[in-house]
Amino acid sequence: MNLHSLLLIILVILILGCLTTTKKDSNAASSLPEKNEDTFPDRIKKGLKPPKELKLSSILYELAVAPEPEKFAKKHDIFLTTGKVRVFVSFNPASSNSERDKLAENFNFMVEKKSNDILRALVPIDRLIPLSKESAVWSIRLPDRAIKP
Amino acid sequence: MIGSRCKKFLTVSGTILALNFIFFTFASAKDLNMVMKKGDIHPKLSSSLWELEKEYEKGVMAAQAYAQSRNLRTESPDKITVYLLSESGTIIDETSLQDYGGEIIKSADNVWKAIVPINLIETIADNVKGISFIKLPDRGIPVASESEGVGLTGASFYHSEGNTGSGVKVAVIDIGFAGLSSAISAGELPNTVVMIDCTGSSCVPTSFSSETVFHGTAVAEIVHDMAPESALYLIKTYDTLDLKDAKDYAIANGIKIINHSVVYSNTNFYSGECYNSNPACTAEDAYSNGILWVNAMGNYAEQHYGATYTDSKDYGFHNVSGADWNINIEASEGDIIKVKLTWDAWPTTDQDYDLHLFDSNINLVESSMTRQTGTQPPTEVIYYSVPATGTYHLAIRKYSATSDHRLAVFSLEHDTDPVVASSSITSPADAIGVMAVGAIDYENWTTGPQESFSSQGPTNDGRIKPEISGPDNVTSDTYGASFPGTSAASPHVAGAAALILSQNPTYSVSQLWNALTSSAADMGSSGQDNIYGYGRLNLPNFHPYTAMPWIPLLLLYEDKRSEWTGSAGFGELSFVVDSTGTRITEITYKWIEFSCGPAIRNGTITYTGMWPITNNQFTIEGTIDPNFEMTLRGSFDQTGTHASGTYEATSYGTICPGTWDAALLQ
Repeated sequence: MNLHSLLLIILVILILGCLTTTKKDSNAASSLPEKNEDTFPDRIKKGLKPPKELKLSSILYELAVAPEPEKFAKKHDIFLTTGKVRVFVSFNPASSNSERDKLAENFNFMVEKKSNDILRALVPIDRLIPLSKESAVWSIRLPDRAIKP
Repeated sequence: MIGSRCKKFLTVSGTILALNFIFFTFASAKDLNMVMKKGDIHPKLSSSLWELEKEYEKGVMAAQAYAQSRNLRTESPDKITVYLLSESGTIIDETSLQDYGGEIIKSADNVWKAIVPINLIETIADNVKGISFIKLPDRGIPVASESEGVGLTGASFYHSEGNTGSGVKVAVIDIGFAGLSSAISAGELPNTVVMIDCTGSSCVPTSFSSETVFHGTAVAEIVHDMAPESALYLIKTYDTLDLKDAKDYAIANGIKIINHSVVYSNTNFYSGECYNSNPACTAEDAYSNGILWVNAMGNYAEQHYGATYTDSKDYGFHNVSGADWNINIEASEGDIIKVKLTWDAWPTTDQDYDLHLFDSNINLVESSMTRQTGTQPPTEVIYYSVPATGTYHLAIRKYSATSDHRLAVFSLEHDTDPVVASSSITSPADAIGVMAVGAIDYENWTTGPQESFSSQGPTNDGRIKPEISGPDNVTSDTYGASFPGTSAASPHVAGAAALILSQNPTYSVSQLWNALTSSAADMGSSGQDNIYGYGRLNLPNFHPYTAMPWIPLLLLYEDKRSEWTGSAGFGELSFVVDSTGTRITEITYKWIEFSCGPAIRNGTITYTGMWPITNNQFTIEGTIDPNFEMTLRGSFDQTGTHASGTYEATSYGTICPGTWDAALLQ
C-alpha cells in the first residue's frame, strides 16, 4: 500500500466519522428544549408564569396583563361583562366571612354565589392581581365549567 | 268458543252502557254542562271555533285558556288563522272579509287560508258572501321518534305492562335546553316539564326562551322515551357551584333520580374525592339524600393520557414514551385545542408542573404555567385556537416538585397519541355514589364492543367503573340525527330507574341501584369490569326472546293469556303464558308428599316473573328456600295445546330429577 492509498483511506474514515456524528437523531426528544434554562424557548424561560406572590391561574394572569383584555378573553372563551371577569375565588378556610365581605367591598367584586370556602364572582380585570395578593385568598381561577362530553 | 265470546261481548257492552247511564244521569242531576247540543253550534262553523268565540265573549284570558287547552294556534290574543271553505266555483268576497278585519293569506281550489278576528267569526260566517264553512287549518301531525334503546332495554315491555314511570320525578341537569318548544309540540317531551335555571344566584323558574345549546333537550327526550309518564325537571347549570344549587333544588322538590350527561375535569384526581363543593361532593350528597345520580362516564377513552412522571434523561420534561416527551394531537385550522392537566397532589399543592404546547416545528405556541405555591390546586389548562392544520405536541414540565407525581391529561376536543384508555373516567362519574354509564352502539347492543371513545375505569384510586352500559347512536328528534356518546347512554339508565321506582315506590336508592346492576346483562369479564360495568342495561324481569311462530298465533286468536296445568313427579304444576305467547309470567308448584333428600315436601307456591320462551322451549329456575331449589325445563308441542319436560329438585344437596306434562286449559 503506497502513501497515497493510505491517505485516501484515512480521508474516507474521517468523512464517514463526520457524517455519523452529524446525523440527525430521529428521536423527537432531540427537538426538546434541553435542561439548560438558556436553551429553553423564551416563554418557558421567563414567560408568563405568574410572579410568586400572585395566586392567579396562568390564564387569568395573562388576561390581567394583556394589552387588549377583551380580545384575549374572546380568544380564550372567558366570560367578561363590563370589564369584569367571572372567576372562582378560593379562600383560606381560616378566614372569616367578614374578612371575605370586606375584600368584596374593597376590590369591587360582585359575588354571584358561594359555597364553603369558594365563591363565584365578577371581578374587575384590573383588580385580579392585587386581590390575588391578599392573604385570605388562596387561589383565583376560571370557574370549573360543565363539559358536554 | 263463539258462545263464550258472545257472552264476553255482551258483558262488556252492558257494562259500558250501564256506566254511561250512571255517568250522564249524575251529570244531569248536577246540572253539569257536559254535552253540547248540536243545534247550538253555528252550521257554518266548526265546534272549536264556535266555542272559542263564545269563550272570547267572556274575555281574552278565557279565550286564550280555551285555545291552549285545545292546542289552537292563535295569531294574537284577538285573531286566529282559519280555513274558509267555499262551494266549488264560488269566490269568497275578499273585500267584505276585509271590512270585518279578516285577511286572506293564500288559497287553493275552494280553500282560503285567512286570519280573522275571534270575536267576528260568526259574523263573518253569516255575512261574507261565498263562505260555506269555517274551520281550523288542517295541520300536519308530528310523529314522535323513539330511541331504539326503549325496546332493547325492556322499557317497551314495561310500557306494555302499564308501567310508564308515573309518580316518579326525574331531573335532567344539563348545560342547555334549546329547541324545547319544538320538542314539546312534536310530542318528544310533555308540555308539563318543569324548567329551572340555576346559573344565577339561585335556582329560578324559566322558559329557556333564548337557549343555544340543544344537549339537554336531546337527553330529556331519551328519559321521556324510556319513562313517558315520569315528571321531568329540566335544570340548567353552568359550573360546579350551579350544580350544587341544582342538587339542593332536587332534594327540596322530592326528585328521586338525576340524570347528568355532563362531566367535569380538573376538579379532583378522578378518584371520587370531595373537595370544595366539587361535583363529587354534590353527587355524593344527592345519594345521601336518597337520590339516584346517573352520570355519563365521558367520551375520552381516545383523548386521555395518564402516567407517573418520569424523566430518564433529566430534561425537566416528562418522558411520554421512551425518551419522547411529546403527546401528539392532530388538529385542523380553526379547531380549539383544549387540554387539561392535573396530578395527584389535591386539593392544594406546592408541587408545580406546567403544560406547554408546541406546533409541528417545535415552536412554543401556548403554555399554562400557574404557580403552585401551596394554596393552589394542581391543575393546568391550555386553550388554543389552531391557526394551521398539523400535528401539535404537548409537553409536561416539572417546574418544581420534590417527587414524581401521577399525571392525568385530558384533551377535550382531539385524540391523543399516545392514548391511555384506562382511567379515562371523568367526574362526577368517579364518585362512589354515582351510577356511571358507558356506551354501546345500539346496533351492537347484545354483542358489544363498547364504543371506542367511551371512557373506562378504574378510578385513580382503583375502583371499578362504570356501573352499567347504555345504548347510544339512537334516534334523536332534537338532533335530527343519531345521538352518540355516553350522554345518550346515561338517560336510558335514568329512565329505566324511573320505571323500576314507579313499580316499587318504596325502594331506597340502594335498592334501586341494586335492581339496575343486578339485572344488567353481563358483558366482557364476568361481573363488574372497567369496560361495561355490570353489563348492558336490562330492566328487571325483561328477557329478550325469539318469538315462537305458532304460540302467538294461537294466543292472538284466543286474545287472552293461556293457562296450562298438569302433573309432575313432585305433584302438580300450572303456569301462565302471557298474551304475546313469548314468555311465562306465572308458575305454581304443588308438592304432594314429595320425597327428596331428608325432607318430604307438601304445599303450593306461586311465583311471578318473566321467563322467555325461545324456540318453543323455556327454563324456570328458582330457590324455594335455602335448602330447596327447583329447575323446570319444558317445551311446547306443535299443536300448541300440550307441553312437557323435565325438572330437577335439589333438596339439602340431593338432586331429584323427574318429568312433567301439562295441557292448555280450554
